[in-house]
Amino acid sequence: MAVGGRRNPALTAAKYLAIAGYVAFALFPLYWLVKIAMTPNGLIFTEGTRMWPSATTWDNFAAVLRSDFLQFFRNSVVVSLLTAAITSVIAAGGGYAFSRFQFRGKRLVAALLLLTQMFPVLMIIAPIYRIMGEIGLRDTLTGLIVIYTAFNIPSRSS
Amino acid sequence: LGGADLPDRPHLFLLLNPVIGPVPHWLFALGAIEEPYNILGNPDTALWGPILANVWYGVPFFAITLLAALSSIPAELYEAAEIDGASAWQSFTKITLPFLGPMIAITVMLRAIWISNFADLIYVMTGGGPANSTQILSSYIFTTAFKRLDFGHASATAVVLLVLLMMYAAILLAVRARLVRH
Repeated sequence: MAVGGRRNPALTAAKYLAIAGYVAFALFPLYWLVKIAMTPNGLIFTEGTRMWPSATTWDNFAAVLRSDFLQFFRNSVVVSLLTAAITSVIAAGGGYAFSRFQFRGKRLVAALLLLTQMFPVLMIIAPIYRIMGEIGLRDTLTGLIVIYTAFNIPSRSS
Repeated sequence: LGGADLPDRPHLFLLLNPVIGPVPHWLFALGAIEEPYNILGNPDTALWGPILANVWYGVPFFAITLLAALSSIPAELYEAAEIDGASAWQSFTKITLPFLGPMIAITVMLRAIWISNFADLIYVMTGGGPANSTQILSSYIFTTAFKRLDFGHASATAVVLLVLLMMYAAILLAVRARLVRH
């Protein structure tokens, strides 16, 4: 690969220029997020469009630590790690079956997996809310893990 | 200050806001717009906001899948092409593109389906406005169901969206099958 790049310095320069351009495009919104997080509240609007505010503050981050941030973060870690682990095990099995074996209805099942991606998840929020209430998993992390696992398996096993 | 420019919902699209974001001022400096206004507030330009955000969000997914496909191309093919005197452009069009083709078709299909169902982005950025100019079917379904509480209408629209996306997926899968055969 990159056969032409090594011989022609102009092509190499163009390649790095393109990469630098993309990196700037990709990282700039994140930079702006950090900048706004470090801008004192009084300057958010008056100096909103400056690349870096005239004064910076860590107050916003201190406020984050005073909130229930750690508990929220622990919930995120529990839900995401368990979902990822369970999804990986099940989807790996599914993906293996799809790529290695021939069986009746294989195309149908594959199409069904794709079908689950095709309508807004929002539409099944109401039924899920009822189902979760009836099996007593409403307001629990377990319920969240079950739902996320179910939603993620189709896209991971294909 | 600037109250009229700031919608009453939290936004992730601060960059496009003329009060706290730089993009309108850059466009103004480039001469693309007459004054640094909020492009999300103008029905003619608002759609560019979600487009830009989806591009920003989608590039890494394409990069990862295409990288996986690229690294599965045997290096011997390029060596053989070079020995046969193929130019870089020829080995790109005759080796790289045919190998990537099926993967590109699948990636475009999946990403387009995901974007059609990405109501959250539209809702957060523009709420479908101004004047419905950025409304997509899934955000329309969301507002119909949960704002106007018309679940029947929303479900019917969701079924139509499902059928449309199934047709789209069938077309792209057919394209992929053709690309694999060649």
